[in-house]
Amino acid sequence: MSVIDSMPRSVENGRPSDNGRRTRAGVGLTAPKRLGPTPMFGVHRPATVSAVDDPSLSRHPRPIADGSDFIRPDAGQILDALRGVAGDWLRRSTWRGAVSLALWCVSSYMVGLITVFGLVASIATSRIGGTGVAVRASLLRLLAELFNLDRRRIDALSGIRTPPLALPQPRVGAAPAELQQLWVQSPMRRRLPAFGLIRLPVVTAAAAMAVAWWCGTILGLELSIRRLELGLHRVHDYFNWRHKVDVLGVALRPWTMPWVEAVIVLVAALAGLVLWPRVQRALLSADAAFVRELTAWLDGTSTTELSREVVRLSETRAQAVTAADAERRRIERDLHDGFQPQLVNIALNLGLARSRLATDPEGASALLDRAHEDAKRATEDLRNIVRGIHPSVLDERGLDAAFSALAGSSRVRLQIDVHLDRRPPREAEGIAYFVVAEAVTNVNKHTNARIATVTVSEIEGSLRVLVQDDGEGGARSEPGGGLAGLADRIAAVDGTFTVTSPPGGPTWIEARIRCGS
Amino acid sequence: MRVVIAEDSVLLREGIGRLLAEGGIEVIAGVSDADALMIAIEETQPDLAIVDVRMPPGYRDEGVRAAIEIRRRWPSVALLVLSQFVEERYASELIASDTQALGYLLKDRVADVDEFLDAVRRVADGGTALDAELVRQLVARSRRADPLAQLTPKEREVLDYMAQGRSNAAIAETLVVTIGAVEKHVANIFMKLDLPADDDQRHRRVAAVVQYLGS
Repeated sequence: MSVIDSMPRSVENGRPSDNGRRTRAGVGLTAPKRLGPTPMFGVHRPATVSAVDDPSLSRHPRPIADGSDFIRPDAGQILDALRGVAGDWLRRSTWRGAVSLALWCVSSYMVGLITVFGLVASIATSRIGGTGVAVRASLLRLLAELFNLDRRRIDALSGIRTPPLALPQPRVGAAPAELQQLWVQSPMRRRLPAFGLIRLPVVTAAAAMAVAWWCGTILGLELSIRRLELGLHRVHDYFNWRHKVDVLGVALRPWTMPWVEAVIVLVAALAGLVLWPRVQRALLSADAAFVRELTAWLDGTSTTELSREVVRLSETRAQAVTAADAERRRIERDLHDGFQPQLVNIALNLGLARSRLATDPEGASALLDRAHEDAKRATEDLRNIVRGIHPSVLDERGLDAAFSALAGSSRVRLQIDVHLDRRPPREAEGIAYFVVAEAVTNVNKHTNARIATVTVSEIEGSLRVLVQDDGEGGARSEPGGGLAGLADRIAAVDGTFTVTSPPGGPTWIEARIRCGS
Repeated sequence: MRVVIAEDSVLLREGIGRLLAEGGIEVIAGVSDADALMIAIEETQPDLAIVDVRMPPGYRDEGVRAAIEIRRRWPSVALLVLSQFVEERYASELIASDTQALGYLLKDRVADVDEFLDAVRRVADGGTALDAELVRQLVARSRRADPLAQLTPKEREVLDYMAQGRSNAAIAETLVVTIGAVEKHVANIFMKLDLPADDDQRHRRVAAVVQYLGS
């Protein structure tokens, strides 16, 4: 144990210059060298570290601060190993694990038995409408409860957490018949009995292995004792009958052989004893993994699917953050580079006008005119910035109303078609609006299109936004550009975003934003 | 002329008050939300109500809803809706019943004092004052491809100004042409939109605008 403990510390003490070497040669090779300037390790256990890390180095003297140049066999090392083994056996978790395994076997056989009887009963009653359903529902419910109980066993006794099985939730005050239907129609209706049956061969295999392991270990111990006995007999015989045997010592073999056998068998049996806690741990974690997979399977999701989902979610979350960040930066830029200088300029012209008022009334008047014009333009710019952040009419009257201002300010004629039976959720509406706003901006800025059509509809629980124009095409989603920002925002709500814009046109921008159903 | 102003920004409310006073228009009440506006109108029976769209408590479309309510309860009160943004949808809701004595302008327009005062007087007199930005939106959203398509660009421009509620003289001044030229355009517009000549001149004007706005 101490060997492993010392490793991270020795790495910590490594100088930066060692890093390259460490990656090339491996941690073990450089560890002893780094022990040099760290007397704490040098004094206590130089041998332990180097002997385990790299035996080839142990033959050579190495610079260790306290001057112990050679590796001596260390009794502590052997004691540590023994303590490790004893520790495994003394640890409470080992015994809890044993209980857990025993319970596993018992519960699996019980569940298997219940499944078999339950299936027989439900097949027998399947023709009798109400009763059949009731029997099937009870069986499923019982199996699910047993499954969750078993899961709790793993949590409590092995300390390995597994997700609970999601049971069908009836609405409050549901009639028993309704609840039965819920169970009978739940996606678990085939999988739960299957789970009950699958566990039988699995647990039988595991139990067979455990029994074989212990039989082997106990028989091995017994055999080694017999061999020792035989060995003692042979020694006795040898010394008593030496004179009767050939002087050349051919009899050597018969009296040594039982000893060799005894040692081999004893070592194997002891190994069985020593290693059992580890085997048991492996069995337990296999059991936990099995139950975890089963839970996912019973719930209708596999862990690989789930982990893929996790990866996807963290990616889209990152994209959402990026999109929000980019948006904030854009607003900051608009205000800082566009609006602020305008205000400063107005104040400047007003200041100039005031100082000229007495001496040059005409010049002052011209400056006032300019300041007036600039102020009006600044108000207009600010209005556009604010509307670009979020048009309030979108909340009050919906997408179609919000598109009017876009249509009014668009150079390219917009044909707008919004077919919605109901208002989509606010987030979906917001994103749809910005898809159209960005697309319309692009059409006006980068194309010679004459007309653009905006179509919004709801398809399969998604808000579908389509913007087409008759321009020359060639639109591309560039990193940091408006289209890329849109793609990020849409990805964050599990939507899809496609830009089709072949050279020569037409451009076709389609977004689908999930809005529940 | 007696005016009530509903605007939650004190700065702007007082600014508009000063501006109107400059033009010899009397502000008899200044309120900051729709409920207070209703009470003020009930009590004072003004000629004109200037109403902000976004007001407490929700800062949503309180002003639009208040304006529609005022129109229903006190049809004689002229309405000038002011807003940070003009929205075709709100305007359509306001215009739905009647375009007479109705204005919907961007708040920015107060910066052009004379034009703003002109719009205020026009609305109080029963005319219309629709923001140029709003008219652009209305045109862009008009789905009818119809008699309006026959108009020449010049006539369309004139109609655009008519929709904003300007007089022929004002249009002539803006376009830098003679009043006669404008009148000729207007006559052409009436003809192309098939509006009979025996109607009252102002009615024809409104009809043309309404058709133009496609409401």
